[in-house]
Amino acid sequence: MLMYCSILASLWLLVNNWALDSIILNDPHYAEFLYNSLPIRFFIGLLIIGLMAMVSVVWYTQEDQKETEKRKLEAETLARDAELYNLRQQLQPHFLFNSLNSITALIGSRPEEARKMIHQLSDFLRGTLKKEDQQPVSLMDELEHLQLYLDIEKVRFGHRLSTEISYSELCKSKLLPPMLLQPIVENAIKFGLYDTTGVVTISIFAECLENELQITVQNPYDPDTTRPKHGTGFGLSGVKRRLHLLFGRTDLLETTSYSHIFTTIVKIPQV
Amino acid sequence: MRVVLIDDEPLARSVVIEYLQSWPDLEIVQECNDGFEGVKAIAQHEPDLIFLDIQMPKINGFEMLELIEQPPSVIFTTAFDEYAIKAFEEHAVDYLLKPFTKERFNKAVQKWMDQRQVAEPKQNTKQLLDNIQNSSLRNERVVVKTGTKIKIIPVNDILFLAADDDYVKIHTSEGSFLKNKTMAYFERILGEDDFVRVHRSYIVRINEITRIDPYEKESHLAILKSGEKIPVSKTGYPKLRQVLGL
Repeated sequence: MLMYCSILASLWLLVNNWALDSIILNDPHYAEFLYNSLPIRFFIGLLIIGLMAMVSVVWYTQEDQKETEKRKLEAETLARDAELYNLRQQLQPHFLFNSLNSITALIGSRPEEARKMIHQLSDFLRGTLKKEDQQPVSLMDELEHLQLYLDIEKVRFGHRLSTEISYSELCKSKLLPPMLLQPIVENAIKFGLYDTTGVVTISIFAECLENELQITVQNPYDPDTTRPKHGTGFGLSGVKRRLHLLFGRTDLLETTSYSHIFTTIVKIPQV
Repeated sequence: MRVVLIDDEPLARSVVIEYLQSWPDLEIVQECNDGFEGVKAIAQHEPDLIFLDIQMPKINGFEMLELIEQPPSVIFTTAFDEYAIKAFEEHAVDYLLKPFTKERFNKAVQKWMDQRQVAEPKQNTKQLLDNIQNSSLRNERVVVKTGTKIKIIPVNDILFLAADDDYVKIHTSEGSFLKNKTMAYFERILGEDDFVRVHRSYIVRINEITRIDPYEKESHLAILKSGEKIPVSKTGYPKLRQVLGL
């Protein structure tokens, strides 16, 4: 670049030397002055051209950077959307097939109940499909949807599964991301039912804190055979990731285990 | 012929009961809600055939089979997807994906009947168990029988394993337990991230190693946090160095 600037400066010097020479024709003093000031004029020329080159280089680099950043941002947004979509799509095929199997069993012996279960399953699936977008839903809606899921699980596991849901009236209209509680409750049921052999009670309660909706889910587990993994524990990383993508915070999901009860607490900031 | 049903969902069992009504030769001697009941029922009744669910409380269907000395013929009834179950296809009598039709069920039972004529089908179950570690159902725990009690050892609790004749001795902070499996089996199921086989007869949890001392010519000793000294063979040493990043 320095080379390039020097060449340009020399060229400029040559041109204006020739120009000045041809304008002022016969003045030996001036010709001498012209000759003596050659290096100074060269350096001034070099500085000006160099400066211009620098400015343009900086400008173009910045343009480039802006472009890359824009692309990166777009890619990130796309990836985030895809990820959020996947995180919501975690409906277990297991659940569906086992439910269908229960219906098969009921059709022979208790057709009325079979019909009821088909309706519950349809309502649940419809609710799942409807929540296509990321629009927040009210706590009431989410709990109603969850109730359908729990009712189906109760048919499958019979007397082994019981649930307690409580919330204060004030929280009913608080908002939360759709299908956020589903995987948490699914986890609680899975570990409650598959980690113990007795009757399992899953409790869910919601309360309003300052600017936050807090939902607590509890299930029994056997501390001798299951170790909650570090951090979130019990495969709740999908929920944690989703909360991070939506709210930019990593402290919204907490799990604790005390004696035989595993507790998951999720906080949803209310804007 | 005696049949035992093992499934934690009562409704799922009732489907099998209903379908079995057209097989008068097959008598259901017991229904079980989980693997523990299953182990007891099989010891007590010595059934010819069991219908076994895979996902069940406490111990799954495979873990239950591992605890039985002479496993009977097995027909799996599961909602697991086909890929997960594919590995066992050739060794189980059959597997029924829930929900299954009566025709499909009859086919499975008929297949078992036919196999009985030709060979001793119980052998299949042994082979089936040998194949399980290749499946995607990754082991996070090991189930052992101590006397009449069943002990579930989370993989995270295992400190090291030592070969002991036909058995492998599993050492945990709570003591050691014997399991009728090979070292190669454990090497496969335990995962390379946490464990390393330092010797023909030893597999060690990497995090447990505090120090490696030279020992005699060309061999070393790994000293564990518990103070235990584990021999490291000539071939085990480079592996150990690699996992420790030395």
